[in-house]
Amino acid sequence: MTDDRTLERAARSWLEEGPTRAPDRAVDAALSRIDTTRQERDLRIPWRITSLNPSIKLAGAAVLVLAVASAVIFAMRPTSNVGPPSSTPVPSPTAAPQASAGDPLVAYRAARNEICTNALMAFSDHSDLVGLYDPATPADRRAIVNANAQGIADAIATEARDLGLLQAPPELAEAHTTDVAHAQSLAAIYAGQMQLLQSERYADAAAQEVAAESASNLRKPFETQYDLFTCP
Amino acid sequence: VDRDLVEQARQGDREAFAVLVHQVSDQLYAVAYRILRDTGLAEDALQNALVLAWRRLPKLRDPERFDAWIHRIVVHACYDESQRSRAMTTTIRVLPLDVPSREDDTAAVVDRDELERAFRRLSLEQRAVFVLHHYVGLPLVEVAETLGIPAGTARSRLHYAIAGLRDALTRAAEPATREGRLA
Repeated sequence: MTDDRTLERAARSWLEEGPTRAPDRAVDAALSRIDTTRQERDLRIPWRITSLNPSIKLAGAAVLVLAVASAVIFAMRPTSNVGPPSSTPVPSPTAAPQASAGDPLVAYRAARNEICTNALMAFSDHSDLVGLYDPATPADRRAIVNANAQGIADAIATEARDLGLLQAPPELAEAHTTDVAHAQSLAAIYAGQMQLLQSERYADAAAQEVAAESASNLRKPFETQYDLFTCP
Repeated sequence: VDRDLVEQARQGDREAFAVLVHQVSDQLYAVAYRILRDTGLAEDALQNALVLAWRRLPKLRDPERFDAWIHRIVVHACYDESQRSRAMTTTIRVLPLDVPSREDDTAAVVDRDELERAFRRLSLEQRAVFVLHHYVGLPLVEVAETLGIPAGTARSRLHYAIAGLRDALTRAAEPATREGRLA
């Protein structure tokens, strides 16, 4: 096994071996447990409420007002989280402020998601990186993988620039600024990695993956909190 | 996977979910086994993943995403199972050591045993990326999406998985150090 491609081929072939059918006892046991297990109900409002018919939105808003008024009048908190699912959104007072039509958060989410999708597409378009850090990679192959790595680095730089231009709602302006800083760090890491690759310092370039992963992972809590797409 | 079945199961239809289970369980078990390298643990991970999927199905917003969603659940069930059993490191120690010698068997057989050992040395996160990419055949972006991690992280984990395999195989090929390491 002298190069990554050979190794990957061998590993793929090895992975094909082994069981491919689930034992009946495992499936039957799971189904038996499911028979006595209740589902968790989803009481959140769909973020993409903007696609709803205006009259449904209006009805939803009326229900929301009634729900909030009831809660205030009777000093009751919503407690039910079980029961049959509803075919129309059931607003919850705690989630409602984020879901109103024309909410800046909705617009921010859509714009950021588009920026991140574009960057993710670059990973998809330039996914062939086998041998990138292997000093033995032949020159013709080297040209391909370096070009792919450059495509990704360029996309990350574009993502950081575009996110920097994005207007965030006041409530998450600070978190957005931090996220942009992480994106810029990531872009700098990938740019530095390209320089290392061009200098044929492959081990140093590979080591940058750790820094890149750390920078990427720092963005996750922000994305989770605001239900945003995962940026690269 | 049939979108209507997913929708029916979301609404609480157990029969629809049972049909889904029969459609996906072979693939999920195969993935779990390849990550955990243990049939007993893979069975437990599959069971737990299916029950968890049933419980959480109403929260799945887009039925089209069912396949990626349930793969993510089974991978996390593998993480949980491994942690719970604490069997992974033990398994490394109790692996049979009577590896056929290079002189009297084919290199391919040796490679497979060595691959098994090398793979067990990877972290579960690296194994999951490697299995989803090289066994399930998902592009890296879809691996990232399935696992809920950034694409850069998926790429990094795949890189380190391959580097880890290479490193372990290289060391395994050094007879002088081999016995001492496995003893």
